[in-house]
Amino acid sequence: MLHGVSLSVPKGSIHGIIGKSGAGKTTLIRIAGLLETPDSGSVWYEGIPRPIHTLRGRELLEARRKAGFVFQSFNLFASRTAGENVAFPLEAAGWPRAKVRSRVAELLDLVGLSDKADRPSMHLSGGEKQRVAIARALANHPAILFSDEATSALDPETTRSVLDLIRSLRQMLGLTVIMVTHQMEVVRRICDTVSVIEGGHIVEQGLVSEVFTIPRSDAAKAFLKEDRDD
Amino acid sequence: MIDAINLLIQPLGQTLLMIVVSTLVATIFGGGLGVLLFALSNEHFAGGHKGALIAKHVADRLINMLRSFPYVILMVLVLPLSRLIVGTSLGTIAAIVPLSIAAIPFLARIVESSLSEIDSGVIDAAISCAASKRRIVFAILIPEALPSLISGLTLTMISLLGYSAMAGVIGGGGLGDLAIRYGYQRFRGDVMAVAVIAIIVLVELIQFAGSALANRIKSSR
Repeated sequence: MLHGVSLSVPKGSIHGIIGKSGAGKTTLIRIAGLLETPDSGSVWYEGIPRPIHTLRGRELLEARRKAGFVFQSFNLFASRTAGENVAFPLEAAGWPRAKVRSRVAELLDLVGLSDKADRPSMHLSGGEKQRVAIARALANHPAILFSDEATSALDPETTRSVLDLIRSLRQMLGLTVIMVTHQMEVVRRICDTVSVIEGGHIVEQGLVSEVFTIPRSDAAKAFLKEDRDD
Repeated sequence: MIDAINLLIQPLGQTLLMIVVSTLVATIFGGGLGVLLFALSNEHFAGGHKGALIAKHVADRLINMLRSFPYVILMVLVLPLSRLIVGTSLGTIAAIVPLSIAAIPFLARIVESSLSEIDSGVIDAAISCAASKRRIVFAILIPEALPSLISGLTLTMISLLGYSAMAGVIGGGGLGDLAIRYGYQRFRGDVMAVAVIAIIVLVELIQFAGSALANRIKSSR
């Protein structure tokens, strides 16, 4: 589905991947975030000397710890409370119980949900669920945060607050963020650079300020027009 | 009637012994097999690999074959196996072997389908948390599917109760045997009634306990 896609994202920046549904953006981020294996081609993370999809076993788990992933449908574990959701990646990394507890408190505080630790995860609002998911994704101090339409299921106000949270976390933690979206607002509000993807190809790439001031591709023009119409 | 109730005690114990032990055996082996079946076809586990495809195919054929045997036939066919495992091919203990063998593929299918119903996004999330496959199964998948697994286990126990009624064929006793030998063959209508009522009460109790437990877990979420 993806052909000849090349994407490199500088450390500490927020990169948007925008495209219509079926353009291949989700496949791209799932490959970059180690959820899918590409048929050909390679993905590299800084500090890992080999393409990540050639890794196995412990090395693969270590590479995954460099990447946090948040999803459109939050994908919280219903069998766990908010705090236990955040604890899972720490348990998996073999943290001792006491350290898990303090790290979970720290993470929930970071996303503004200190008081919700013991709430069953299905009793949270959409925005709260995504905040818990972000805390869970950041638990193991990843270098990269992948977001696959993380705000698409949220109302406009919650969308803005989650985007602002991601921006401030980037600042605070020096994260690199890669976000897939079909919403211009997401790109405009927090992205530094953007790739426009269409039919499995990246048709335009560059600074958000440039791409959406002088769009060259039809896809970018269409997004800009849609945005003006809104 | 008092006599009929007295006659009930030993067969009731035999029935309980048969279904409890065979459920335990099925939970361990059938549960494990169910997890394996799920893992062989899930893309995040072994799914898609050639070896997994073949293994799944073989396992499917074997399970379907075991499940298609009429239980009475299966019971007789595994007699030599019973002798091998429990040292005898007659009696209540011997009857546990075919019951377990019938329950293992049954429960395996139930576990496989319960796990397959978990939202694939939840599995994506567990994978991205950098957990080992084993941890994902035990700390996420089984807890996520727990209400449905408990319903499946309830279903298995009730089927086993039905199967255990045939244990009399190999001298396993139990409530079904009581109903046939006393109730039917010796024209003791009262014994037949008491045995059948005992079976109905057992089914109700198992179903009640299973549903209550599953609902309690669901409502705590």
